[in-house]
Amino acid sequence: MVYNLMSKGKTLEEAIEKAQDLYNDFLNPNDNFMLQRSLDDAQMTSLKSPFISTTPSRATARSFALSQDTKGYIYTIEAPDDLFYDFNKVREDHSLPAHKTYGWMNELGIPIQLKYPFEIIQIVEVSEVIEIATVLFEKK
Amino acid sequence: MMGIDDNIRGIFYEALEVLGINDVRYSHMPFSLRKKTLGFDIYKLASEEMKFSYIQDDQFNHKDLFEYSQEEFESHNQIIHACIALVCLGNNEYAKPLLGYLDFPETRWTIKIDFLLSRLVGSTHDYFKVPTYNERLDWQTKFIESFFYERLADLSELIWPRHTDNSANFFRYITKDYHESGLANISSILGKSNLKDELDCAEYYYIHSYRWLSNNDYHKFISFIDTSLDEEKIPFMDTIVNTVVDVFYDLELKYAPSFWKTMLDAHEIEALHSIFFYKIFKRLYVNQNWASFFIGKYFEESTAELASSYLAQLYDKDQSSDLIPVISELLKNVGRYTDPVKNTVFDLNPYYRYITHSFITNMYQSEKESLLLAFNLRKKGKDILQRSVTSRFQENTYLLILACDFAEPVAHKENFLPKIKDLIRARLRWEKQCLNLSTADLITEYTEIYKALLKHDTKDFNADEKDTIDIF
Repeated sequence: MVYNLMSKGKTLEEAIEKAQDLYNDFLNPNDNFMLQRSLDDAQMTSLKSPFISTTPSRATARSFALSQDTKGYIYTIEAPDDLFYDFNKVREDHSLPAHKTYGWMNELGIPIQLKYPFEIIQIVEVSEVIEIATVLFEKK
Repeated sequence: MMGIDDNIRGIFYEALEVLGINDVRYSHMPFSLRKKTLGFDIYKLASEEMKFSYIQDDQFNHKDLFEYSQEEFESHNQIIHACIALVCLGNNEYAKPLLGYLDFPETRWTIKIDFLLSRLVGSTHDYFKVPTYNERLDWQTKFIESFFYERLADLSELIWPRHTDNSANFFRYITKDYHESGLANISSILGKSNLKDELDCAEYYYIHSYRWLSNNDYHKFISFIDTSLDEEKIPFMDTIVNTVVDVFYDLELKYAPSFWKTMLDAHEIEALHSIFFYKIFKRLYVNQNWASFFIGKYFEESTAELASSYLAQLYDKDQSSDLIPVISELLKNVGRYTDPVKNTVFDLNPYYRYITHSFITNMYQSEKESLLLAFNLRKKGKDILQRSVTSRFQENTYLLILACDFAEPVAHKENFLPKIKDLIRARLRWEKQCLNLSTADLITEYTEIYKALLKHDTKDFNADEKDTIDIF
């Protein structure tokens, strides 16, 4: 669920309604300019995004999970490819430039709430990244 | 794959978009004026939000994103992007508030801040990533320990080219506006001392420097700088220097340093103004020993060896924290100078006053921001930050005592007394709450410092001491 849209003083119903309004802008953009504005807003802060944000890159997911000083969780979510909102692909299809700061995240959005056919198939708890290194060369 | 410069530019233009600012209207301006004007506009735009939601009133890491109202969030959105844009433009005092925003519960913002801060302190990683908790803690500690006073790297030339297609027309554009708006008339009626506004000051120096230098009238240029400067221009020193340097670049003046030395030698430049000239020519010809050139204009080195070495440092150093010990030594030894040397040293009083004021202001802001970081951090990193803050306090106290030793004859006490009092109160609160030091010990310790700093007689001191004790 897009809990981030439940800013202070807003109910869950209001948050869903707002998410639906925002999502409509993605489904029926008036023009490329409006589409780019919606994409930029959604990618710059989760408070303006009607999507649950995911990424196909495990390293990116892990770094978000570990960004606080506590352990974090990585959820693996499955659904047909075309149901994820692929930000980079939408930009490419509409000849819009890649996002300046967040393009590297390869963000895939789940619209409004996590329900069938989106399915959580695994949740793992991660606490730190351990580097396994073998020295191949060292200057004496 | 985008490179570092593209990423910095990307962050900057994204910040302008969030703030709703179109950069095109600034593109006709010379480099430093463009930076200054845009920076001023951004500051104006965000200053209301800064007043209401400045990070001092917030404890980001104890809140989740959805605990902010839409209005509060928008306000922080404006502030953070204003700070990012201002830092990109070279106003790196705004980097400190950005450190606080690393704890804001919006990871997408910390990605941008992390990248920008890492570039400012010279880190080499050239890609965006999510900073880890330890990296954030490391930034905060590093800022308190090493970058407390330092000027950080200026990224502005990476963002905007010095010359744009439009900038060549600026002189014509501004002189037309200058006459139409009556600015020329105003400045001649009110005189040089009334150019208090920094932007007016920059335009004034651009127009007049351009006029004389473009006509190859170098003596008039030197006379103009020397006669137009006064004590009130000292706070604008960086602006004036940058503006004049812009003119040199815009006109592509490429004479050898010896040419300018001959020109400068033909003029009796006031000692105070020589600091401006020094900074201009040091920027244009980095490898020249301009300090000894200017000192040589005032006295023979053999008759003033001691003063010369301190004066050379006075010219060469930029940071107010580095200058405080130099000024302290220069003035402490004044009894050993000959009369002409003494006069020259005292002619620089307004500069000492400015440096003292800058030092105390900078220390005040930096200590408050450091305390805020140390107060708000969760337990895990608190010990590390507390150690950094404590060691920084000791260094600051030492410099403050040096400054107050000579500040009394050169500074207006009322300018910095309230700040020092406020700082001591903040330190007391922090040491009592975070370090669990006993109230009685703290009062004894700070009473001694307070007395030494402010040199109050017993009667005056008692009133202030009561203030200090009241905060418990």
